[in-house]
Amino acid sequence: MDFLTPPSGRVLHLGAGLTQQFRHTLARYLDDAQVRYCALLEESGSLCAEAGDASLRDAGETAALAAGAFAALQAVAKRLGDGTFEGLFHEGKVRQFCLVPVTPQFMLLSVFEAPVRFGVVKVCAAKAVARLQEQIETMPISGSGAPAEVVRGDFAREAAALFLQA
Amino acid sequence: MAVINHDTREVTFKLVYCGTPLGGKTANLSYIHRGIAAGQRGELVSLATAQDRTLFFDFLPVHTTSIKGYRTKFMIYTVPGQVCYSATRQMVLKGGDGVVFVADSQLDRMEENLVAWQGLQRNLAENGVALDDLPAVLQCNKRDLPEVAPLPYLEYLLNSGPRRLPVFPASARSGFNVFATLNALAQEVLHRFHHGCSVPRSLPA
Repeated sequence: MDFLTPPSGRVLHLGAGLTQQFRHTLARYLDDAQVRYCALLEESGSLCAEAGDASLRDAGETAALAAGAFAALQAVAKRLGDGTFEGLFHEGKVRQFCLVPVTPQFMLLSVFEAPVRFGVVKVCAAKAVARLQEQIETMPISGSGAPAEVVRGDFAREAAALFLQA
Repeated sequence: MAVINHDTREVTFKLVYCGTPLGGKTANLSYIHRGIAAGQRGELVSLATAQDRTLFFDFLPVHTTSIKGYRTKFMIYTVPGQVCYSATRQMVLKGGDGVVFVADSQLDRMEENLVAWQGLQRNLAENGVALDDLPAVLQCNKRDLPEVAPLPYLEYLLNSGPRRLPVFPASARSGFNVFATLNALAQEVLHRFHHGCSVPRSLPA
């Protein structure tokens, strides 16, 4: 399956139906692998969908750091002559996490604890990745800016007040 | 890349502060972090060396007022300024919806300003994006210091191309024009998003 990474500046539409599909896939993966938390991340650091322990959710810091770490390690692998980067795994004393590529633009973050084993997570993640790939393939990427439903009215005027109160 | 999540009714943009080494990019972000109420922003994440030089990036998520039922979220990044971190910069710039170039106004930093400016254009080009087509703002920082270059000279040096960027004399240390800079970029990003011209022209392969 070929995926194209769209140029910077395009608009990625996560429709409500598609996001529900992502969440359903993640929830199923959560049950299968017994991971504590999982999330589908976009390479620019955006969180697309998540499932699991709500206490691990934040305002986007984890997604940004994970996307950065993933991209950095991928670049290191490439520079060291390994173009087949398959993700990263952190084995902590309390928690473990892994990041695996879904498409060149998306990745799957999984957080888990003992007694869950990485091997099991890896096998289950592969199945989840295949399902997510199919779902991502249906995702529209627009080059024409925002849809009308998002920005009815005098958007620019309202935008002007964004940070003025700060 | 702007991400519209119709399920959570959230629109996310990525803004990147680039510029001259030690020019005040992190100081900008720190001031923004201090100036915005805790409920409207996340934590400021800094990946820095022991000497407080940015190693990878700084990151601050900011939520703004809801517009027409969609919450607008800006993920604000800085990148390390030093030449040797070019690969890191290119990585963080990927998917950016707008950039602020933070120049150092001190007279003896003009060469560094120029090198950083050219580096930004090169990093964007390597990502297939032309600076001319990306929402961008030029901030001339450290105006509170003695021995600063006149603004017209900085403009001549960095902003004399066919497209003139909005320019803000600023002092990130005192906060002068920090929010004005951010607001100007946010407005341009949102304006382009609204008017359907958010796609920077891709450079020929």
